[in-house]
Amino acid sequence: MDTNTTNNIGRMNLTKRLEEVLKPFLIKEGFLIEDFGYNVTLRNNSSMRTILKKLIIKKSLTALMVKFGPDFICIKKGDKQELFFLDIKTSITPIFFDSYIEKLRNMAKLSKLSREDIGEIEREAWDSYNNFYPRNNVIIIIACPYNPNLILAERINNILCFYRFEKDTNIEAGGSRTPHVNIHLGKMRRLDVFLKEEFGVEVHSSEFNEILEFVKMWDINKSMRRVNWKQYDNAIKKLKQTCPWIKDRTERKLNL
Amino acid sequence: MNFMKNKQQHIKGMFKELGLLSSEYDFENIIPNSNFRNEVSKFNTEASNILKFSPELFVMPSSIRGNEEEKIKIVKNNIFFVKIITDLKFSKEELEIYEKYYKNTKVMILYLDFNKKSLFLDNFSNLKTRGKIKSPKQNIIDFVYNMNLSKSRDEVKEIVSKWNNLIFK
Repeated sequence: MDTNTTNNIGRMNLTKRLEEVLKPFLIKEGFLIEDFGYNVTLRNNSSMRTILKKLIIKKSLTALMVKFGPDFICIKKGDKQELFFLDIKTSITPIFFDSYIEKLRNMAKLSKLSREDIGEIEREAWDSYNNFYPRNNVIIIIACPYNPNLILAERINNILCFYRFEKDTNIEAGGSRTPHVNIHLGKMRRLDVFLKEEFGVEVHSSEFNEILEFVKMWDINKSMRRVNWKQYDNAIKKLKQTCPWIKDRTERKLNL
Repeated sequence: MNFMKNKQQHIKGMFKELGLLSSEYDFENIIPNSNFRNEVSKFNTEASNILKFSPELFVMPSSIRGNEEEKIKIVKNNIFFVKIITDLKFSKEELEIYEKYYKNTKVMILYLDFNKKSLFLDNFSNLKTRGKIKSPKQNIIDFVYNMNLSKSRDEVKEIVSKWNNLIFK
């Protein structure tokens, strides 16, 4: 499936599509889910929403608390009753350069860190969840077609963040040039395992498998400008060893 | 409209006339679905209390102009939450939420003093003391005037005075 993710709007749409699949799934598994985030909290105030999009806003932690609120509030009733915040994310752009992965390995002192393990989250969102909400009650679900487990979930206090981009704009990144943090996907649990261990929920496997298949269809994004097609092909070839569903360029053209 | 909602609307009106944007940010507004809100109300955890004790207003300037340094100053000083209170009683849980999760943000405590028929405010971080809240002392006219909203002190005074009359009517 062409993820149409060479721009920020395309990436947001992919996340929306994932939300549309995951929300009914979680509701069926017994969760109450309510939309949250600044599109809800500032729904009647388009002027404020416009101002919050300005880069300078990053200098106000008050504004960041509002702008980067988690997307959902969830309630699980029953034995393991809990109210928690949920954010659903996608990571479709792996790191293409082996030398950069090696650099991250050394910086983070994670000698076994692989390309499949490296997920990316917007830095301000990460900071907001960590500072303005109880860390044990914020859960991130991240779908990633280049990780063998495809859909991962974890409470943020259990997520290992091993790199943080410090400047306010990332001129090396494509699209929105948003600064990011890298998180260790390999230390997160697959969503079905997470739901079982944290909430005692045994998911309907056929429906869960459908979601896994949905993520398998996503094409891997190529970073604009910085990565040439040869470098892209090399990385895809390596990723196919652990994630055979990933399509190379020929398969994409043939729409296999 | 209940008492606090009424006051919230008046204060919102005052900020608007002063040239500020504000948005209701209280529990009812951040969770418009009343059924879900009822479910949240059944919990007494930090996660639920963040929602329940949400401040009444989120306020910011209607434009951010100037050079880079001026803009930074504006967003740091002039974007804030407003917690409206009519007495100085904060529950232990509420105080904990503000101390723990709002400590890096700017929360202005706006005290409607019905005895003096005046509005006082101060930053939450200046007011908390050993599990309690001190009475805000700063007059709202000074606070707003210092925001440099292109209004003279007399203009600010006039606007605040008009809304003050409505609030304490």
